[in-house]
Amino acid sequence: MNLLHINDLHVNFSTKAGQVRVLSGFCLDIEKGSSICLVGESGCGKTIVALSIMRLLPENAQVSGEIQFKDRDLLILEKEEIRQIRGHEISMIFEQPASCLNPVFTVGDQIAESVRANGLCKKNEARDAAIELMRLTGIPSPKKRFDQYPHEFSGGMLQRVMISIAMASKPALLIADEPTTSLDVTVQAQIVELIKDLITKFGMSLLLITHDLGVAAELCRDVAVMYAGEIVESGCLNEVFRHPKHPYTKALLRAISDDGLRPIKGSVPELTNLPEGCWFHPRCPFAEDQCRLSKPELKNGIRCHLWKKN
Amino acid sequence: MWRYLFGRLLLLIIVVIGVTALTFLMMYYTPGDPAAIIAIARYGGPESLSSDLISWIRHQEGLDAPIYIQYAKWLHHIFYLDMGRSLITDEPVFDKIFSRFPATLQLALASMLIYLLIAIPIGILSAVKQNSLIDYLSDIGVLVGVSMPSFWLALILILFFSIYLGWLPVCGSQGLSYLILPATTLGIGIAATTTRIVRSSMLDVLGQNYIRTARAKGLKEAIVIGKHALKNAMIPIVTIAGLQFASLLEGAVVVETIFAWPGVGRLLVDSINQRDFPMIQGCVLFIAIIFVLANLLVDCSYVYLDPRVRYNRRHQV
Ligand SMILES: Nc1ncnc2c1ncn2[C@@H]1O[C@H](COP(=O)(O)OP(=O)(O)O)[C@@H](O)[C@H]1O
Ligand SMILES: [Mg+2]
Repeated sequence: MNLLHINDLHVNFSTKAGQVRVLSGFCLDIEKGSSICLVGESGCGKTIVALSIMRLLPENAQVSGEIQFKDRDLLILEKEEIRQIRGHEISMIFEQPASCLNPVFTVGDQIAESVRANGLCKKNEARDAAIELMRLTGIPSPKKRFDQYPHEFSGGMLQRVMISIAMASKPALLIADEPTTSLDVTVQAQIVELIKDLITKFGMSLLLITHDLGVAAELCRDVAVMYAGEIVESGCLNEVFRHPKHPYTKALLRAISDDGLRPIKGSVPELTNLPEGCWFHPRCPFAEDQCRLSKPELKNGIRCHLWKKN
Repeated sequence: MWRYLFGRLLLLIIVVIGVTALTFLMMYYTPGDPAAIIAIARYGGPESLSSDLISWIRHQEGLDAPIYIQYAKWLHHIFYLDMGRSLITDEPVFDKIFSRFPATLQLALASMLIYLLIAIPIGILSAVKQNSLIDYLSDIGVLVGVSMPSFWLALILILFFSIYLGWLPVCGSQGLSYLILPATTLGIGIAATTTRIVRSSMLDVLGQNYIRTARAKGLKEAIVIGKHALKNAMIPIVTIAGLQFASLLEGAVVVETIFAWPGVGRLLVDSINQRDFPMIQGCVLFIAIIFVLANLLVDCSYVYLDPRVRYNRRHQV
């Protein structure tokens, strides 16, 4: 049974320069208790997928399609209904935790707020519940830390605070958008460890967004590789990483292989100006005539005309 | 903290010296001989004045000394809270200003209240409903508000509310109803620009990541706006409100005169008309001090609003 089922999701932005089509017919399934990772170059639309689920897209976005969560279509819910799902059944943590916490309120207040937000407990119990969450996410001396402000915390500790906020109601789905990107390498490993512990302990499903394939391999069972707003390859993470089929996945994996960083040839496509045929063909070393003419469909978890050949 | 207070005190002294020295200089070159004014006040109409009498008074009052000596003497007296006496009525300037101060304070507080009640809600609303009808209407309101001089607005308000509707008195100071029109005139006058600043400050805050977090944890929109956004947006708003308090004092001079409101502003205008030099000096000094104190209050409110400021202060000292 799928916990989350995204079908034919379209997201457009109206900007001064005209319409920007970011997602067109995006599909994704997340099983209950599974963990899946979205990888791809920056600007390919990963964050937009996450924000669509949370219904937190900016106001200039137009959304269509369906996002089924526990048999309800999130996209047609009333504002009040989606508010009750946010932070309660679906939680999200972001990159750059320092900018994600309100500088003028104490950290404890911001955690306690999320405990109270969905009526999880009475006002006077919220403090204890928040301290308990801080302990759960490994924040040392939580009683003292409760009354401190975000600027008194390090980046890694702030991400733990964000995770405390997200864990207030032990959601069914945790969305983590680049949770380790802005952190030091040693701290990254600790945060990855923490997320791993929490999802196993509470049986949460995880939608991880990252361009760090190491983090992806650490946390996720499945992977979906995105290119220009579309999934080009998806499947079991071990399988995809060991035997990539799509030329883009191959290039992506090669980019971080042992012999240093080799950037993928060519530049990230502009979403307003996508090529005819397969969107990857201008950067693809194997492109043939049919790649320039017709756009491949996603078949058996791969979107490529030629994968059987290569 | 002490270093900070000391800095503020220093600023107070610099502002006071700068402003009063400038007024002193301007008055020195203003037509009207203070010795003659005193002579008229003490001994009656111009016909009875002899030039001997006038030069005797000039010498007696030290008005024949060079201007910097006169100024130094004035400053010296200020240290003993002695602002001199009115040339016209011989009342002590200090007492006169303090008898007028409550009226000005009343007017200033009432205008501040009206000002904040207009600027903050409308500013927030037009930010939250950006590009909506409310936003455009407030934009037009702001444009009208900025381009209206306060004497004109005062006359319009008098025409409508006092003469046409007959609801409020035209001028005077016999009760609260007399306060409404002058306070509204002043409040509207300074609200216009601030409304726009509230709006842009709020828009800026609404685009921040922590607002997205607040929504992501399922808070009600009223809490997201009223708690998370507002407290951050207040930081620039408090700055501008403090600055506007200064232009409020400036406006009080005009508005008190139009509405015959017996405050320090009107006292200043009357003193200027009568060339009552010590009184003018006293009013200017008084307004300068209020101005610096208002700024001090703004600074203190940062400490309350922004924990980062609190932190830096604590760790500097
Ligand atoms: N508010 C917006 N208005 C217009 N375009 C936007 C907006 N937000 C994002 N985009 C576009 O959407 C694309 C995908 O963004 P995003 O999902 O943030 O990428 P990433 O995969 O790095 O998370 C980007 O190319 C960006 O230009
Ligand atoms: Mg992103």
